[in-house]
Amino acid sequence: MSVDIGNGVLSAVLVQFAPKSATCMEDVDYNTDRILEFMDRAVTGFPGIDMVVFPECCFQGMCPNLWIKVALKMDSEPIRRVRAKCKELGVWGVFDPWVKPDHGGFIENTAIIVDDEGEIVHKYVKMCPWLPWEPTAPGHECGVCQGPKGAKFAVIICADSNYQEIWREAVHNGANVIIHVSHWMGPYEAAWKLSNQAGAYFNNVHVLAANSVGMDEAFVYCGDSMVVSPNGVILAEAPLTGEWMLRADISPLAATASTIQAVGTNRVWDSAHRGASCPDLDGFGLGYEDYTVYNK
Amino acid sequence: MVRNFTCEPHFMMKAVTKAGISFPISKADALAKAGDLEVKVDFDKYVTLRSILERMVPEYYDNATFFYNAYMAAQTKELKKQFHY
Repeated sequence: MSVDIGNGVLSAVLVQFAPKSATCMEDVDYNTDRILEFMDRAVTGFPGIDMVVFPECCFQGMCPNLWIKVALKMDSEPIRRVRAKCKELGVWGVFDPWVKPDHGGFIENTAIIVDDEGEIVHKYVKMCPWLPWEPTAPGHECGVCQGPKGAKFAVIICADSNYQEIWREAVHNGANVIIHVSHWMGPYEAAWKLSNQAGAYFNNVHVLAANSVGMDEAFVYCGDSMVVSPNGVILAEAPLTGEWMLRADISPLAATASTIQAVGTNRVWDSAHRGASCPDLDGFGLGYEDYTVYNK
Repeated sequence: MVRNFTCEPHFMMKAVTKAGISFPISKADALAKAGDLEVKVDFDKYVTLRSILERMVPEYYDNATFFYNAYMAAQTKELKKQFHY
């Protein structure tokens, strides 16, 4: 299937946002109003952008105990409103509602990608909820969707970035841009930065990391939204405090091209072909089956 | 404004420490150590540590991580009932 990559440069705005800690649906509506305002602001300030990314918990915050009251169905008014706004503005959007799933299971922390026609083209359920304080139902796969400008998107959510397996699954499924949406709190801001840079570097991917700011009943959120190159270099970074819009212009296909053209920095390939340049291994190397880490 | 008591996990941890519960430990031993200790679960409400431990499913806890994940799972089941999920 051929894909129109346009000029090959994905322009995204990461919105560093302070959602209200919702205790009722009126609070969810308030957050949704602000999300829509930010989308208008993003296209006003940065006309022509492809995508707007909001942090984890953007509709509901994470109010202790009462978060269970404000879970949304996927076909609910707040989600319909942001879908309509994506269509109106002709931009892709990334949002993170906590969803009461149709199959009747427990609440799922779900990131959705909405295309510029207002269609939900990707859903990801957080595989590694933040234990033990986030008792949501875990997801089972970190899949990928086709995005604009040659991007193949995966989304990971907050604590997911602590686990190498999640990043690597996204890349093995073809991601060249990993969007990391978070409600990450202080005093763990060093780990936030480290995990984004390490995730980008170990997996040869661009990382677009949108975090929350503000304060709720339990935490102060540490902002520091960032854009990281496949070599782990921070290309753009927001402050630790204050709502912000961080603009990213990246070439998703540069990450893909590096997996084909790179000679010495193809870490994902290297990990599956250990010692490949050894004369005994003829360029093939040792595969994943040779690792013992999960076999003990 | 909704009054939301958010400190129950804190008081649970304090009670567990006061009970002398350390890990690894069986559920039976934890219950024995709990005695009559109480945990504050709302602004004006206390329940026994024993009643919380009894709702937790695993019979043996290798470490504190396992213990508090089981605690949160059991407490969230109560939240589901409370909010008719």
